Amino acid sequence: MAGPISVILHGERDCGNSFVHHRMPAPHRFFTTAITEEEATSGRVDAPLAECLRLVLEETNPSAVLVLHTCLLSMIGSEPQKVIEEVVRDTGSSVPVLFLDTGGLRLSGQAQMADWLYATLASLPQLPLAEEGWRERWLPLLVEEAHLLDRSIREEGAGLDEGCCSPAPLKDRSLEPEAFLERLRDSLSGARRPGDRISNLIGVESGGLIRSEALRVLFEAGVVVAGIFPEGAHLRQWRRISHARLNVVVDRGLYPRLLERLERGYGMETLEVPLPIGLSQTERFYALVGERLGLAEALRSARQAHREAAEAAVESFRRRARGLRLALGLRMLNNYEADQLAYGGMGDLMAFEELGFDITLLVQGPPEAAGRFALMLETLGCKLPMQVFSSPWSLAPLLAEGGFEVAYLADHAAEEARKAKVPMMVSRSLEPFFSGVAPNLERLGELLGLAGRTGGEGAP
Amino acid sequence: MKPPSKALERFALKAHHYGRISGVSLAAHAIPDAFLLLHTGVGCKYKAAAQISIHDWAAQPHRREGWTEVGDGALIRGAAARIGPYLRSWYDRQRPGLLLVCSSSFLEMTGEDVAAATREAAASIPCPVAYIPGFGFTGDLYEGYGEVIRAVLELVDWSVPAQPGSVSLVGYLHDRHEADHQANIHQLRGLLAELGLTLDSVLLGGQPLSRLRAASRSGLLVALPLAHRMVEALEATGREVVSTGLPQGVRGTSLWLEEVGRAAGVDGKKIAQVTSRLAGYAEKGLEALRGRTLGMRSALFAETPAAVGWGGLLEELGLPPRLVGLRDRSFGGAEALREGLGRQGAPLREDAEVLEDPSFWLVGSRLARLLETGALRVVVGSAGEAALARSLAMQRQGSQREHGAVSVITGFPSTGYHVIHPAATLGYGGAIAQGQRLLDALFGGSLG
Repeated sequence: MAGPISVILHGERDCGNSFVHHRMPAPHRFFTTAITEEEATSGRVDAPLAECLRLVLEETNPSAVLVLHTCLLSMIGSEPQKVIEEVVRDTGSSVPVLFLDTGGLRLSGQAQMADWLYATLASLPQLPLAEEGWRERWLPLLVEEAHLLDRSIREEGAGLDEGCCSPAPLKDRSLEPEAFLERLRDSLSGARRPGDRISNLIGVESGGLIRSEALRVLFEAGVVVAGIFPEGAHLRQWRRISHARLNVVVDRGLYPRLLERLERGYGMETLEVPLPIGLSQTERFYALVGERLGLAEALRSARQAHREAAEAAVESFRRRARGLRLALGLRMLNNYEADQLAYGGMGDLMAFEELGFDITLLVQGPPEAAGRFALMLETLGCKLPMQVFSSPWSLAPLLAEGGFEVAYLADHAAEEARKAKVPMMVSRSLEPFFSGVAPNLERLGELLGLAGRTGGEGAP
Repeated sequence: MKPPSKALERFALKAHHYGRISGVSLAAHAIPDAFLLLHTGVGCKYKAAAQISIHDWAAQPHRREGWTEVGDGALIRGAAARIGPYLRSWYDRQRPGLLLVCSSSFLEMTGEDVAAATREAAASIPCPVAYIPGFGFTGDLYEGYGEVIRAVLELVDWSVPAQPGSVSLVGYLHDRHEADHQANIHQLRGLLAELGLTLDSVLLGGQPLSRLRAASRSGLLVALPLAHRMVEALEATGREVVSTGLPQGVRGTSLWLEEVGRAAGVDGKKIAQVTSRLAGYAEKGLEALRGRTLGMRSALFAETPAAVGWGGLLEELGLPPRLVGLRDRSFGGAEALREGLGRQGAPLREDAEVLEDPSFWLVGSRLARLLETGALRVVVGSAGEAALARSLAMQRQGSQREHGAVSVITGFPSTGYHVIHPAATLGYGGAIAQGQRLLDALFGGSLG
């Protein structure tokens, strides 16, 4: 996460490599109490934490501090909360210091862990939003965010370190700053309460969202997006998450704690949408947002051209790919990325179904749990054939015997797919929204050897 | 960027923060028929594998790593009893040539006898089983990696007679199955062949256990820096042992060949002829670059032995380090660096600063200062330092190239540099290949 947030890992030094630091915007904001064996055996683990926290507060000028726990410290019963309270009291600091009991002895799923972290971040003290003159105060903030986003787009590769949310990207340069401001003012003019007409997007991968047409389409229709959560969101966005009226959420079941905080704590509303991958799910995404915000017509017109291009691409591909066998892997991922976890990892499924593939789900897990998996899929309304496999290395024979033409699996299954001679696409690598459809199909076509093959009348 | 106070530097996350478990995991990954059972909590489950999987595009570590699924209930009941069933089950599923068991700090501290539990289980398993304690308080990746080499050495039958001219390398850091390591081993094999020697085993060089055990054929064991701490164990094998640096850079490679050749009893004249001829080819190749780097300086981040190798090479290329960050805690620090470079006849420049086991923060603050003054043209280091340098350069000018500084990734993790052609880092060929990378980085075309 970008922003002046410092992280203290309270434990032995080796636990510091639980993160992929070189992919983070600010590894220099990570600290470890580097507990020694002697400190652990004698139970003297509070003093290093107190000293570390005091120094972090003094020297890093953080807007928030997270203190994480490790297995060892959980095992010996350390109580960081007390130490944190003492340090905060002694230093008179007003910086929020949050303790997360991340010791690895309590097993829980990726989704629960992610939800817990996001609920914690959303519980950070919110920046004030006074009723009087809120629109005028919002405008410069939104413009600033748009410029930050614009900058990160220009500096391709810079990621979203500088900030990631925007009412609309300026990348197409179609609007001069004054016109841009005017459009924003128009969008907010119909608002009756603070935050009306302003929405957060939760659960769409921010990079894909930015590459797509979505922010521009939403903006043109008058939808003001204030923040893209959870991954990539800047600390200041978490501290303003309550300022919007509506949260547009991909898979509300993924965020029970976060939504409890947003709905009950802040009185915000939630609109659940599908993961906008492929034609039909993207269409539904826009339709739901438009309907909820009373902007259905405006949104329909803003997305029309994008939808038509995507429709044509899907229709052409379907003629060539209908009936081809596709293996789609589930429960193979060990990460915390929201779009990958959404809808039980099946967020992409409909994008393949609409292309006419003959799909089989390959579910990683104990074979004896096959009945349970079948029930889970049924609950999600999925009636596709399913096979359970115990570990990635048992995939090769399964893929070969299944006669699959293509597989959509976690990256670590690449070797198995190679062995089985089945072309593979990495899970959740499909680009979102309408503008993602054509490149997705191009990649799939290449994999399937369909490039250049005509699909009948009207096909390119 | 202001540097942290000394007091806070103690707590700040180090640029090389990998501990013993990471080293064990990397070593297990280097032995294609090994399987690693982590006796840990869930936090350690994919700690190293996650890093390796993005570092190595040629082979995934996940399929050869499991864990004993210790949660709080197992901890209370006693977790060591889980080792036997898990080992047997993994053996049945994978049929590995070697099983490694690595525990973590908190399980070691329960006082349970993990070693005994492993020994007991090993009795019912057909392949060798080795236990490596994974204390996370001290030590680093290199210590963990070295422990696996020790375990392998114990599996070699040293009673067989050595074959004349056969040499094995001990302490080679094989961190991925990409073409850079294949190229290194090919280089070293070729160089030894020039001296009339045969390279037999490389511990660890990406070979299966059976090939590692063939080290028994070698009369001479070359202890690379990572194996210096186990010289006694090597000598106990009854074989000749020579401790060397890394054969990196032109002078570093010549020095290495001289040391190995002498230890193997190769005629001094022959060694001199070989090194002079091959070094001459390499120097000629590097000439083109050297003439264009006048006045340029570099920042270098590597574990001490590799910093000696790279430091020597950068000096040869006319890019002497202005800043060196030593990414380890076990190779002797700045003193060892200076000593190693001195032996190559390429001492550090007087204005060069050496940081021992620096934090990301300290590295960032030093790089920021050097970038600010325009004193730096190239940053050689892992993906960690490269990312930091890139972000600092971008903060200043909008893009790295505009600012004039470039990065060349080396070491672990290397996520922006993957190798599909045989580009070595070691030997004379390695000097040329890395010279080419620097040349491309400094003078290559860019859309930026």
